Amino acid sequence: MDDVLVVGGGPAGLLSAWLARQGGAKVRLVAAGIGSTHIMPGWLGIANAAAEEGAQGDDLPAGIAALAGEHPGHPYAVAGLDALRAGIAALQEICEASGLRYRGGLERNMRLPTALGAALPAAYAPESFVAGDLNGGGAMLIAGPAGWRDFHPALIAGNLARQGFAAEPFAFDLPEIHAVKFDNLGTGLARLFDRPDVRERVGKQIAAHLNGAARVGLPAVLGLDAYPAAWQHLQELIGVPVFEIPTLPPSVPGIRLFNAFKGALTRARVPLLFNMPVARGLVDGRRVTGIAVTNVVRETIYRGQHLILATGGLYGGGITSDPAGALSEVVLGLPVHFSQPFAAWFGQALLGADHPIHQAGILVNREMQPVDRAGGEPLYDNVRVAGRLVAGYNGVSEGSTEGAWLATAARAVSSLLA
Amino acid sequence: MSEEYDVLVIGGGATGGGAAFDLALRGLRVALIERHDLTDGTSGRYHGLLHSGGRYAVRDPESARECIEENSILRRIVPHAIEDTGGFFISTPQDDPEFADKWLAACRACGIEAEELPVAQLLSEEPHLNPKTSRAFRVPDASCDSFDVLTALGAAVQAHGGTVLTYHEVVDLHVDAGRVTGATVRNKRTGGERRLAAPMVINAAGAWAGQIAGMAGCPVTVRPSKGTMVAMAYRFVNTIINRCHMPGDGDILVPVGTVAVIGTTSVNVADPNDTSVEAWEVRKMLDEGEIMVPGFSQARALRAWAGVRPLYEEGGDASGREAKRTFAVLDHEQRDGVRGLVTVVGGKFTTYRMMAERAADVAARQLGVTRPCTTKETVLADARHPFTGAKPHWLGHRLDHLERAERPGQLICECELVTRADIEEAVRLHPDPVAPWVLDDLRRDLRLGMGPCQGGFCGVRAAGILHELGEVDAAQANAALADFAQRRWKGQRPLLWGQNLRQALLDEHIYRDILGLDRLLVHGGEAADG
Repeated sequence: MDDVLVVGGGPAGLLSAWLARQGGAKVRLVAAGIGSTHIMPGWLGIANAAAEEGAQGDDLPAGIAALAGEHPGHPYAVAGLDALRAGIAALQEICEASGLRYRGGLERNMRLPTALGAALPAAYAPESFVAGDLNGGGAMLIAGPAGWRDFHPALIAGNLARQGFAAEPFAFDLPEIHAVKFDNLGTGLARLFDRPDVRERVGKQIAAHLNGAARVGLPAVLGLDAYPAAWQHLQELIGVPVFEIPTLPPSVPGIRLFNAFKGALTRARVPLLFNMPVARGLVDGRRVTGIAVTNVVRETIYRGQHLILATGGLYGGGITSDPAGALSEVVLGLPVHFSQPFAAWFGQALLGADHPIHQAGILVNREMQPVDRAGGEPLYDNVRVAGRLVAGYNGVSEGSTEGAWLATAARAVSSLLA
Repeated sequence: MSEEYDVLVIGGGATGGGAAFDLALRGLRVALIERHDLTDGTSGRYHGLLHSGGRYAVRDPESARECIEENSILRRIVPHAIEDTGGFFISTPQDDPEFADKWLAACRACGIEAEELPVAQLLSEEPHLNPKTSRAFRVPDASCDSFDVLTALGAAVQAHGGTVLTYHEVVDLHVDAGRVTGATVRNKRTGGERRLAAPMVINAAGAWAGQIAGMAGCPVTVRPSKGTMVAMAYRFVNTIINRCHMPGDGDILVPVGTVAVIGTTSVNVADPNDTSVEAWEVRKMLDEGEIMVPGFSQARALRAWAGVRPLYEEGGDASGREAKRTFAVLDHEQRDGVRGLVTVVGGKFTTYRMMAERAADVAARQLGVTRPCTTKETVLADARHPFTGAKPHWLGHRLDHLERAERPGQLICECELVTRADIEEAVRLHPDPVAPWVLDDLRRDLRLGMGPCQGGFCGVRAAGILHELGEVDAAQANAALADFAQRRWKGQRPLLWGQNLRQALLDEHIYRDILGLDRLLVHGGEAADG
């Protein structure tokens, strides 16, 4: 019997498990698979600032307040901004132990360059990203391995330049990528950058092509096991600040974050059971007494005093959908809060539209317990919901993707331990 | 100053491409004019079935005869575009088994080989089919890739000295004293107009033929009929499956490469540009698919699209399923007193060559050209994949090629095994040097973005490569990527449930959270000037 069973291996589940363990509980994490860490860019988006154009008008607190104040069902309103701050502090502590240092604050957003040369707002980012902040800093050299499919320095620099940021491209030789016959993933490059000889070669080429650039942007592949030493080493070799730009999944910065969680949870002796889809919850009245995992020969039952559901909503597979427009929560069959008909789930335009389906999820009270309507009694007293499974927000259009899991995970645990 | 040709062919679908090639073989200087890319219209929006004619044997024997005749010709002249899947007509529990006898007699009368086989044998060959099927017949259907056919036709037209003007829209036909003397075309990229002089114009604009003929004052009433298809992410069958009944909705299942396409609906539409997919159409396809293949609707549906049939009957007014699938060649000198204009309309993809031949015959006669049509005997070379063998559609061929290659280059589209070298080559071969910024053209050439992720990963890679090649500047690359994403989205959106919904959320995450593409569009104003 565990004190807390956490279902879900994404950032909300991982953070919940660590926080519950810190609070003294005996915790077990069970997950169908790896979660959204491996596709996230790596920075922490909390909210689009109220006014985003340039450092002068940037007002992140106003952006957060608007989300929390204007939408009573928003996770920030439900979980509270103290939970958001607690979640961020916990994340920083976890990561620090692995040398992954998150920098930033809730006063203003950085504007970080993307692999297309756009500027995206982020309140916090790994320290290896920070020199890319477009709110300041000097001329950039955007450098990447010549011929790599996931990073096109000329296009990135071209788009940055179009927005008024001085940037020049440089493609350096990295013959090893051509030795890989098919899939040149970011993770493969990161393992190359774990090697000092590769960094020496690359660093030398870039240093010779600086042409007065004050900082250098590279794909976010500067070391996996050797991070952050690999990034620091390259920076020393080049002689100006070096920043990373996240690329297509699998995300190296996201995997670093996952590894930091895994290290912290392993040290804290929290069992992590991956590739274990939970088939159902065991219910006794208004209490969930355990979960059932089906494996090849039998059903394994895990019992717990509390359950934290962080199964990722529609995105993570915690909610399924069918062509008739039915939405189902997979573990407990919780009611999915969403009233739009199938035809209105998505807008006609992929980009620029706020697709209503993002709002679909489980309605929760201030204790993060599932309810069937605002103000209703908890459906289960010992269940908490966290992360993408929570209803009532659109992380994409709000810029709140990471903020939502930070706040809801922190609140779910504080409520449970209270 | 105007450019001079012998013949202008309007419409870059199969019929227009075929007519341009036919006339080029007869030694004429031709220009093939298409407002988008080749096959952007109905030819590129069909299910991929090379008809044996069995479908039309009962109701429309003339079409059936045309189909079987052309079926055997196309197998000879475009072998690289055809996968000889064969076809079955099956009587499911929903179909009257008596109809099969009538159908069989009709096939024999039309010269279509149709052989009954025991249901047990059918099920051993196609085990996913409905086990309650009562009768089964084998016919010489095949699967045919219209993109490959048009790529080959376009290349062949150019090889014979012809001109291919993609992304050129006809804005005016010149008529002088009862004769067509040429056309004004507008470059869709630059907006620039040019005058093309020619004593002969072939109107092969398909569903848009009425608009073109109207420019010369000739009334042509095409009855556009929209058909919706759904590509399922599984190749349930290796043989084309037809229901043995009077043609209806969702009764054809065509294996195409790695997927199976079910089609179609038949909806009369006022506007030939209406390729919208409605929810009931998707539902209908899934329900009908279930009758042929139990469990069909539980599989992942990948993409839905619609094409608009250019139905036409001279002097008739039938539409939809009632209308014949035969074609008409209208000599507007005889019909309307306008010399130098020939409209070819109606028909099927399967009969494109015959339609082209008939139209070209009329044009050649008027021009005093006596060289006969030779398209029946002229094999079209596979310009793009000379390494492939008899079954180029098979993904295994591309995989085999990659595995054998010393340095195949990186995979840009993992779903369809498209490499950087493939993209560079397709850009080099593209008929119109100003057009490659339309990523959808690369899709038609290479199948880029046609797999499960629908371009979420390969789109940005291809845009980056076009930019590196100097084909586009940064703003054009952004616009091209956004355009590609939106075109893919149009086909995904009606099918967003289950795993497809999760995929769409991942694609949106890539475009917006990782790349910030939407912000670049706002910033640079591409949406306005693209």
